[in-house]
Amino acid sequence: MGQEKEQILNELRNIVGSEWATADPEIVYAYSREANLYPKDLSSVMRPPFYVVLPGTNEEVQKVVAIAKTYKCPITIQTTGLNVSGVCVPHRGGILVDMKRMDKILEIDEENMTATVQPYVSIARLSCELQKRGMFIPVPGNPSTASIMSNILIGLGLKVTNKVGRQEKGLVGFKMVLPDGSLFKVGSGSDAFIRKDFWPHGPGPDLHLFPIHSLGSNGIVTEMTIKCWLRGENYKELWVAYEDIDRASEAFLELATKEICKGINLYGGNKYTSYFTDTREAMERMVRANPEFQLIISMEGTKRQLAYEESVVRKVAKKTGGIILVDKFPPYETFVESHAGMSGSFYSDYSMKYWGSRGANWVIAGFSSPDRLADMYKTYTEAVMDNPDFADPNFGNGEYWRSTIMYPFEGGHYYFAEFGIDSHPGDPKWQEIIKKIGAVLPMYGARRGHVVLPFDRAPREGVADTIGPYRDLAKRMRDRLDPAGIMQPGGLFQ
Amino acid sequence: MPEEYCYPLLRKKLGDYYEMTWRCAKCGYCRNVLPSDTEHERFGRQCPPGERFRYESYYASGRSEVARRVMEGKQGLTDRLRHILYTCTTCGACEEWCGATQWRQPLKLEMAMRNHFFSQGGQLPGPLEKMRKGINKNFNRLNRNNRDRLGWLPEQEKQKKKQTDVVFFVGCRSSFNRTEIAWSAYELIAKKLGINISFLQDERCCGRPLLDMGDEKGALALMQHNIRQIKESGAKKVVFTCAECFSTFSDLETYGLKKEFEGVHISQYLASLLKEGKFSLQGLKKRVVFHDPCYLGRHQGEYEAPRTILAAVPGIELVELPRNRKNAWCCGAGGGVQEAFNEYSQWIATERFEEIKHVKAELLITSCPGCKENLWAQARANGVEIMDLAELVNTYIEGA
Repeated sequence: MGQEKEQILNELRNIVGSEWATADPEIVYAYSREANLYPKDLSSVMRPPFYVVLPGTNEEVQKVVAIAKTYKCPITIQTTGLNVSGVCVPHRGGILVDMKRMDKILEIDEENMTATVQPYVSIARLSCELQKRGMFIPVPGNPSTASIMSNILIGLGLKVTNKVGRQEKGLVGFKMVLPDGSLFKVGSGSDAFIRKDFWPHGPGPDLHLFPIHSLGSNGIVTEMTIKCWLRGENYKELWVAYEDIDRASEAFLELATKEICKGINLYGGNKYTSYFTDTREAMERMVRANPEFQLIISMEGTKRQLAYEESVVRKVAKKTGGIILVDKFPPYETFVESHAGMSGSFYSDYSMKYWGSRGANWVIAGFSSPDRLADMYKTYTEAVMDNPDFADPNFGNGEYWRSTIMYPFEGGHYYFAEFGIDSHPGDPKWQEIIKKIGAVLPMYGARRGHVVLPFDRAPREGVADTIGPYRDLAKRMRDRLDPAGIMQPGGLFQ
Repeated sequence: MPEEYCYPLLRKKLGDYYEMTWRCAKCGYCRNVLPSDTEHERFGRQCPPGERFRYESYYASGRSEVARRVMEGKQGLTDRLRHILYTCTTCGACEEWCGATQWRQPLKLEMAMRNHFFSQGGQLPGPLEKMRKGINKNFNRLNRNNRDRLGWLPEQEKQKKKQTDVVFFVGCRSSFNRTEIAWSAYELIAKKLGINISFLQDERCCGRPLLDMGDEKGALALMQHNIRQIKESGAKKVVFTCAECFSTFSDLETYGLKKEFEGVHISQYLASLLKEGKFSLQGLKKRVVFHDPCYLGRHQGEYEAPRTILAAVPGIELVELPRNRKNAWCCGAGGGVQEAFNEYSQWIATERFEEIKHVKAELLITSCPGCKENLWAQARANGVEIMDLAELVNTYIEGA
């Protein structure tokens, strides 16, 4: 180990204690890969950090950042390490700040309906405490072993977004260590007259979304206050079956724009069946036995509200030729927890099954205007059918499966559509298929979302024209904060 | 799915796991209580070495990366590697949930790594090396004179040796350290229930400690010896009080050995006798919890037999720990950790006792001498009574 390297390690150990900082190869190597890096041919991009440090307090994080700044040493942040975008893997060695020791639920404020957590608090751990108090936090389709904080920072849509809005709307306040080592606080708690986080805005210009989607490049969030939601007194779920995308999307759009129901999702292909089947063979049988599309509606609230919403759903189903399924079929019950509680539930458990096997490996996850949904689905299906690997155009050949989920956002103002080819992510052929099919979808209105894939090095067509000025401003802000570019290098701006 | 992306259930050599090391989805299921089973946020995590040492390499997901590095020849047999390998308690929590969700076998990989480490001349942690030498010399993990195995048995009982259908495999810990368990089991079965049982002429360590060290060859020799002894005894059934011994004998076929007898854990044996109406239990007014031994529960899938017996005790208030059954937190005795890293082993026991205090239990029941031994100090410090299931039944059996 070089002299300077040794010196940095010693300084890190002085801050956190010798037990919690190391440069041992057996330790650092374990941080060089995440779920995105399945294929062996990507091993060339696996770069372990030089050091791993586990701070236990905000002050320790500040001091670690200050050392990184002094030595111009890159910093990468990791919480639960559950990521598919290469965000928590070092791109240029440096210091990996592992947040595992900051793992406490600091407060659950039932009066203001907020929870304040440290980075290593998982969705499951927070959810199980909230559910005891009749509350929930909305999370996307992630395993609930993931960090709730990281999940919100890079979060997207979820099953109940039509009702509660996008996930970052749940962010009430946070503490963040900036690249200069200072501690930055946002939320009403930062207002000297309020001193309590229950409202996202502090004094002056609103910065409460400052860390969202910055992938750690603006600093390290060390505490976050999250808005929690009340669970309704009553819950009901209805499944409406369709064989035709035009009719299904017609019903889907009508219900979404009425702004009723807690969750309205359109599932296609194998997506919903894979949730409750353990084996590929079982899934295949279920896919063939089930309707092509399922409109899954979840309702929550007072009895009167439920009765009204159900009558509307039934009316729309009748008008569009949908068949209301018997909602007592046992596997469907798993969705009740999924849509009611959103996390700490079956939902994440079965979602993990498909992620690890023939998983949620999306061709494209994009936002779209309502009138493009059906067209987009047809294009996607045609692209799948053109592929020789799909021996059976409707169902694939058992190795590759097409699947879809669509969620309405903001009262149906726009939609999040996930089109997937499910297979094992380590299968090179699968990667070829998704590239091919992914290429045709944007022509039909899909806009790739703000999921940043640092390992996807290909220049994106049109990026400079459409979002250039926006990114430019963000980059100037970041350069001002972090002139040496030490925070999360390789993540966002390369 | 192409063959390249499938992996068979049982692998023997470290290199056979190479493909699997690329498959880790970093989902975190290996380190957490199954999310839908999480009852309390304080008790939502499950991997003892990971939770104590916190670096990624101490969790199954990180070990997978380290293992690949070893397989690629980039990693020597260093002190840190030894620490990473031998701080695993082999509790099997990672195997349980990773197996269920990802179809991977992180514990089998861990054992293959230990095998590799040992066979390549890696230096075992001092106390384990000492124990290994003791086993090779005296055939028991406590390095006592093996002829004293039945030292807990009164002389007149020893004279009664005869060929029986049921053999009591006492195990090292019950024979030498936790003799109250051995005596309770014997007294209960032989005297109070009147079942003819005998002992092996020359019982030796079951081999589990050597397997934990990575010395598979040494373990196989012990297993073969004990199998021969059982065969010579003519017994059809072998009863174990130790969950580790029970698990080792249950898995003999995994090691290519033939099993010509039925191995049952004492909890299973007693549960079947209870079902047949062979005994009943006196009332006990206490708040009781059951700690699932890893080698009885996750390794062998037996969760209900001990609970069936406890539920048959009139007046008992049986409560569950937040982490129970498949999600149980290890006591800290497994995998050689108790011997090699005593302080850390006690930290694991302390963590378990946080749960026991949380449910306000008065009596802790377990069904493995290793668990009782490791939880004993904490039980005393917290004023909680601790008993093996055999002791409980022997004490509270009706008409005793």
